[in-house]
Amino acid sequence: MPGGRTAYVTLPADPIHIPGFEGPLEALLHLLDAGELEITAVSLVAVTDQFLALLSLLPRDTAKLDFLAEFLVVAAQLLLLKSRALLPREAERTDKADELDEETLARRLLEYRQFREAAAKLRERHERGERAFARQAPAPLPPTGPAPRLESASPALLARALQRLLASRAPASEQPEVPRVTLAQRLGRVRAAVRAHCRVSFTWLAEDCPTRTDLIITFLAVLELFRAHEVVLEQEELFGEIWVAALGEA
Amino acid sequence: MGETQGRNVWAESDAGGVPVWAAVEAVLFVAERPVTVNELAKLLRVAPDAIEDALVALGERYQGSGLSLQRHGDALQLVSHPRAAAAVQRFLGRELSSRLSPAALETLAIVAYRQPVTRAQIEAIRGVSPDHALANLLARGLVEEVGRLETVGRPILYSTTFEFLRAFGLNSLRELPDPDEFGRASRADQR
Repeated sequence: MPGGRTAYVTLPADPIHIPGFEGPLEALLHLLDAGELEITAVSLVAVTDQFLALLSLLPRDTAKLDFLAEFLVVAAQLLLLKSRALLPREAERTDKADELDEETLARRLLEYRQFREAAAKLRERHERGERAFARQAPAPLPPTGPAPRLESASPALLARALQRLLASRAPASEQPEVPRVTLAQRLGRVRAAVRAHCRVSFTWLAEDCPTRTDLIITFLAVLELFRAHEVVLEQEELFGEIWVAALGEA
Repeated sequence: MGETQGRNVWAESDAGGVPVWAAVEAVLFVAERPVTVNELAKLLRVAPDAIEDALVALGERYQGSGLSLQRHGDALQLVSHPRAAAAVQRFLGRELSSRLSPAALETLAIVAYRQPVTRAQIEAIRGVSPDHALANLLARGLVEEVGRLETVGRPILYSTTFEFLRAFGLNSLRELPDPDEFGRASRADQR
């Protein structure tokens, strides 16, 4: 994008970080809020130029065609509103369908704003950290039965197990997850689990990891315990489950 | 709750001569999973209405206590009170769950207030694809698939979970902030 573009755009004082917008509705709300405008058809016409300027600043990224398309749809709706505001009204254009059409964008924005407010309230609750806990189901016991012949496994095999688990999970979300779990905390948990059950499977430890980051930290924790000779790694068969066992219990 | 005749909150159950509420409390105390009203009614051999009355009584008993009665649809679970989160967290050695992105929170809010809801319905409100956010919420167990809408393409329907109630310290969906302001009557809210 040519840098001079921004010069003639009278954007609100608060500089807009263009790629920061999740979508066109958010961008539109931002423009209205910055101009202290209510959500009405008139206000929408007023911010049309700003929105189009914004659109022209969006990166032309072919990987984000959906994203661009959403902006274009909204831009088209704004232009329609604006053209209707500028042109004298034709007499026959008073039927219900057209009126509804004019309100659609404003209605969508109102609805969207409500959910944004709801999301903000949810965030407050979440950040207060006042969550409830249900009774803990006892940790599923490692399968018993005829003692499997376990071969000792290497950290390299564990790494392969991690890769498999990562691959089987949903792709990482676009925004990097903020790791709240520290290695030290995870170490404590893996240690406690091994102490309580003598032997736990890596898959079982992984089930307790809501995010990919958690999973990787768990992997690091197991490696650390292995390095410190607190645990041994065992495997039943090639590509089989990897067990983390307390040293001396094997 | 209004009518008193016929129903007796203190009615004895078929489970060893204790009041229904006490039997319900005992079952919920040991349960490791949510238990439904019907299950409780069958267990205690009383009418579901008697269970409902007992739940009201139980809910009142837990005011100001360290426990809380959670309800999601017809399922019930006894949980620690959200205010006691810090102590329980320390006991469990659990860290706080990581923050949710704005996109995930918006999506979660839409699912919470409009459930059950389809991916397309969420997208219509947000104006952006909710795929990433939904995957994140599903992975965290805050949202789950509950069925399919019987229309063309049979799209998947999403609802919030018990984990959602726990994570946000809610006893039921009715405790969501300002439920009346959202939904059909939104047009009136033009400020």
